[in-house]
Amino acid sequence: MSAEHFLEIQGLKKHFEAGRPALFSRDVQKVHAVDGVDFTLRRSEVIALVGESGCGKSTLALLLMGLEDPTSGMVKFEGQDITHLNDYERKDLRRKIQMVFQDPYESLNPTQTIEEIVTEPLMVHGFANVPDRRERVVKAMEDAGLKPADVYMSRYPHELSGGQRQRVVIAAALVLEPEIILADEPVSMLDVSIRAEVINLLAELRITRQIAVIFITHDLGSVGFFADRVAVMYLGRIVEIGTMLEVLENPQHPYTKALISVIPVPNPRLRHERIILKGETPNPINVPSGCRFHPRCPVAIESCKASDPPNVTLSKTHQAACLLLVK
Amino acid sequence: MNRSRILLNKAAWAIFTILFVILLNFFLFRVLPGDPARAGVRDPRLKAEAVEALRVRFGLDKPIINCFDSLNPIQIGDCGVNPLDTQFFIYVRNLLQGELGFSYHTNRPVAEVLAERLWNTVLLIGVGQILAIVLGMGFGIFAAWRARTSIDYVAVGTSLLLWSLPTFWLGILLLFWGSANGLPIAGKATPGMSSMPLLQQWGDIARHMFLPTLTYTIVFMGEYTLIMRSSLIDVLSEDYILTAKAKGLSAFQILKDHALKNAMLPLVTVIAINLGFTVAGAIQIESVFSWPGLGSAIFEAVVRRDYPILQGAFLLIAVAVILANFLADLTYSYLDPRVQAE
Repeated sequence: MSAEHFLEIQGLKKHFEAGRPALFSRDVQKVHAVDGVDFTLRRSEVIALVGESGCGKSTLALLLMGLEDPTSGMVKFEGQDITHLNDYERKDLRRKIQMVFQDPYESLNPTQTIEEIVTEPLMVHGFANVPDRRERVVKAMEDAGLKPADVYMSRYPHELSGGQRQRVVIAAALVLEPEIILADEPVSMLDVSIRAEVINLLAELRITRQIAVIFITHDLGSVGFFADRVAVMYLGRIVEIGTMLEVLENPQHPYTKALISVIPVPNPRLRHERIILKGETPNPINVPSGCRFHPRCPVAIESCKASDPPNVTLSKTHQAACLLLVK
Repeated sequence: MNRSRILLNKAAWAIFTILFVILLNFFLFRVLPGDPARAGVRDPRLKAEAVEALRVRFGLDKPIINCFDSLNPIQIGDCGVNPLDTQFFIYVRNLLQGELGFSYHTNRPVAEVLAERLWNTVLLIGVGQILAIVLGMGFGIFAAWRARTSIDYVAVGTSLLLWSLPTFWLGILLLFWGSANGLPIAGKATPGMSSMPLLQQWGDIARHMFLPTLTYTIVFMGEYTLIMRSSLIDVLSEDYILTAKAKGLSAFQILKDHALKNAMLPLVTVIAINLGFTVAGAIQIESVFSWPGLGSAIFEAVVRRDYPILQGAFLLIAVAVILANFLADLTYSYLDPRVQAE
């Protein structure tokens, strides 16, 4: 099995039914939450998935976790099709792909102690009677930065700070020694001062434990420095994907350019003109014709309204979907 | 605050509340119109001397409290009487000695009457509550698990209907149905049963309990179903449920380990409050089925102006409600660790 085929996503779509436009209307409206996403993830690679709220990032995460059933498309893990597994078939896979949710105030059960929270995944996956169960828990907690673990074991989530809670969430993910961690905006609910710590923690894990990380965020600035690759999502599709340097230093899609232009730059001499996009993300029920970005695109041309742009390969690793790049 | 201080604080409030209830108990019933000496024995031929003898017998000739000879109609009296020689302070002194007094009507000690009635009520309401809790929780969990399906809609509709049924009306319907099907419809036991073997006696009581318990269960089950359902649906939409699913827990494990404990909190409150009032008995049900419980005792005592019984019963209810709330607090802090921190 080559590294290329670790996690493969092909043409993944998820359309939610959104009710009928009128009371007796026949057709059911659909929300195109994820509308044809392809990318691959290599072993111990960090990929940042960037986009505005409502672009389908979180739905994509739920699809990858098998918590939502895709409308069409395919997800392959280590060469095996895992798109439509049932709960029983997926159980072993869940051990390998763990998720860290956005809000550590909501994602921990308030009635469990930290020890119970971090131990539970082991119990569920048949490690209840392994002799080193406690050591595994301690190691996961200390790897997640809860040192010394004994101090935290008997506490409850409400007794910890937001950053510590998120570390508990990460420890509960680590304890199963996963191969992929899917982190859905793991720092957006935390204080700015703690964000860097949690991001550094995730960055360390891929080095110490060879874990691949899919880092979902709306803040391009916060992940740029530790991701290997960056994928930019707009309205259910990836519009540009490339290595971190390619995307951040040489963005090709007008949407990526706009996102990068608004990252705050500390040095006033290096500041450049910001591209402020007009309007809001269009309603994913009525996706614009042609290029879905054209109503907000500062450089749109007439043909953008009519034809959906293909993925233009700019280098071996860099692709963007824009008509202006077609030569 | 640490735990023992919280408990101490709560206990102090409980005692304060009971003292207030004692005060209220005494004056509330004496504001009611009517003379206990006359309401108890409704015989127009009763001579004035006999009535007066009754009043002296029960101490009703004494002023209620300093300055007031009677509260309804208000009769201003001597403010200089010895407080220990007024009805109120005699009541308080007796109470402190654990003496609840004698029923004006039956002349039996109040404590004895109440104990006998309490046992009947606890039997009826206890069984009814347990059935209602178990069934209501079960239906609630099932409805939440199948939320927004036709099963759920049927469960919610039925529960709302049951909850809104007037208790006495449902009781009367079941009474008709029961009498048509040969079930006993009144009292606790068939007369003459006390000479039968114990097992047969119990069987007889169970048959008598069937209809009132059924009524009680139906009325409360709807409430519990609705609370359990909505609380569980709330919890099931929490992020930690999704997290648990992503960790690979089965649906049953999620329900058992994560959802139920959190969803129980609102139900515990309601159950505790209902349990407190259990002692009051279901006045309506007990009246419809002539069940000799505390509820019907209160009803009869009101009709006869039997103050000692009323005072005793209300004190008992107050203590039970306060105790039940105290227990609810304890259960709460066991179920939800966040409660201790506050």
